[in-house]
Amino acid sequence: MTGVFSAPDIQQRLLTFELADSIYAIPIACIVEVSEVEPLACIPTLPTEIAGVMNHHGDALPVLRPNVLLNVEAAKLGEPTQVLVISETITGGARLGLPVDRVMGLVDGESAMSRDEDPVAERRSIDDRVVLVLDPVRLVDRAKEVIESSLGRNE
Amino acid sequence: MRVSLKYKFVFGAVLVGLSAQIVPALIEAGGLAVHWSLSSLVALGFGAGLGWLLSRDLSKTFQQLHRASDQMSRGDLTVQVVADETPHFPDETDALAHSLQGMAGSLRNLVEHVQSTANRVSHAAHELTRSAEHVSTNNGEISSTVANLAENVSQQQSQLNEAARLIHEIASTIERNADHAREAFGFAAEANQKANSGVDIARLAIEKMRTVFERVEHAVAKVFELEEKTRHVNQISSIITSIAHRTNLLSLNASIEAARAGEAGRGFSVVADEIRKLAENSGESAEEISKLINEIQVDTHDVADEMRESSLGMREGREDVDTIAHTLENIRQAVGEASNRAEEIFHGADSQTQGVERMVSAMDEVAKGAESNSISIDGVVATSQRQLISMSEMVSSSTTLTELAEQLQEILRRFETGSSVAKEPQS
Repeated sequence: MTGVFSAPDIQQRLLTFELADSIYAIPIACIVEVSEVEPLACIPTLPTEIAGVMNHHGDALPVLRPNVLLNVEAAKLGEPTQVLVISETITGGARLGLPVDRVMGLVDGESAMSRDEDPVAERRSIDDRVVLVLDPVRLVDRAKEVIESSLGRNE
Repeated sequence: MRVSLKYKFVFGAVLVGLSAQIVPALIEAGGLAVHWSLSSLVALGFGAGLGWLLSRDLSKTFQQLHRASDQMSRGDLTVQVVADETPHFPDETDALAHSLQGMAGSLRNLVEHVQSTANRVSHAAHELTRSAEHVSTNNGEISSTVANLAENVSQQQSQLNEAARLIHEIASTIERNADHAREAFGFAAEANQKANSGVDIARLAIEKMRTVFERVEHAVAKVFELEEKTRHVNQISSIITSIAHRTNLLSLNASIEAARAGEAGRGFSVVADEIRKLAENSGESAEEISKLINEIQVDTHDVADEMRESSLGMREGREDVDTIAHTLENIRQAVGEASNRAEEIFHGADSQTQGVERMVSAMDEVAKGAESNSISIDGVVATSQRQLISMSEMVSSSTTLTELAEQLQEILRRFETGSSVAKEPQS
């Protein structure tokens, strides 16, 4: 997965968003689009970790619950206003939807890589606020693991 | 033929004289020698005989007269003075007898009349005595009654004086009432005038209030329109906010695309950032506007609610104002009616005062009359007492009169008139 995001500019721009009273940042290189929350199609066979499937320009986009990807309490999650469409690579690959409480904007900053399986790579102070910088690779891997484990559990 | 007594005496004297002359002459002529003295005696005898003849009737008459007068003096008025036989030569004695007979008849008539009168007087005296006694008794009762009447009149006079005093007090009270009625009439007239002016002022105020109500209702309609427009502005603001949000999202995605485009998208990234900042500013401004609009809308909504309540209140207020106007009109009519009544009371009190003055005057006259009556009654009492004394005297006098009448009857009973009048029993 290393070297996927080769463009230095993209590595130096972060998208910040608010989720469960915490501020997160993720490199915009893995952001395909910031989309409005649209009605999710509920599929009975989907595992509970998957909130639903969203129509993203004609493609079925799985939308996962944030609390299964990040270490947040489900009770603190607010009503999502946007969905971050995250791709596995800058050129394509697997995509997933992550509903967030509110997208805050773009900031300049280096991306970070997680040293373990936790998607949160580091905690950084940006504009006097503590921002949790996510590693998109770990985040997508976590999503895959959740989906696969849930599908395997269903089987 | 009636011959007067003096002629009879003259005739006798002449006969005596003639006999005294003739007899001696005849004796001398007869040749008789008769002494002159004898002849004188013969002449005297002849003369005496003639005189006796002539005086016999006279004596008889006088005797009859004497008997008659003697009987009359004894009270026998039935005496027959005049003889039945008619004398040949009546003279004054006959006339005297006739007169005495007439006197006896007149006395008899007089005595009979006096006896009859005495009887009537006695009867009347008895009646008078009884009447006087009855009148005296009645006078006593009258005197007692008059005394009671005097006492009653005295009480009546004191009552009349008390009534006059009360009438004066009532008159004074009525006069004060009349003054009060006059003042009340003045106040009522002033109140009527003020009520009229108050009604006019209230009518103007009501018209102004109606104008205010209309303006307020117009303002309420404007506020409702403003509320509607504010809601519309809020919708627009929401649309702007949504657009800003979408623009922000688009600019964000544009920035992402620009970043993903690498060096080629650097310029576009700057533009996208500026657009995003503008969109954020627009969104913030739109949100502020939306907040302000929300606040305005809330305030407008509150104002509209207040206006609705005020409108209801004003509708009630308008009804109240109409009620007040109607009530003021009723008050004005009532005050006018009260003023009319006060005027009638005033005029009635004035008439009452005049009537009471006349009543006081009449009462004074009645009191004076009662006082005069009291004085008169006192006079009547005194007169009655004097009348009682007089009646006692009258009873005594009538008793005396009865006694005198009885004495007179006793005296008259001595006279014999041949009539039954004197023998009438006394009642």
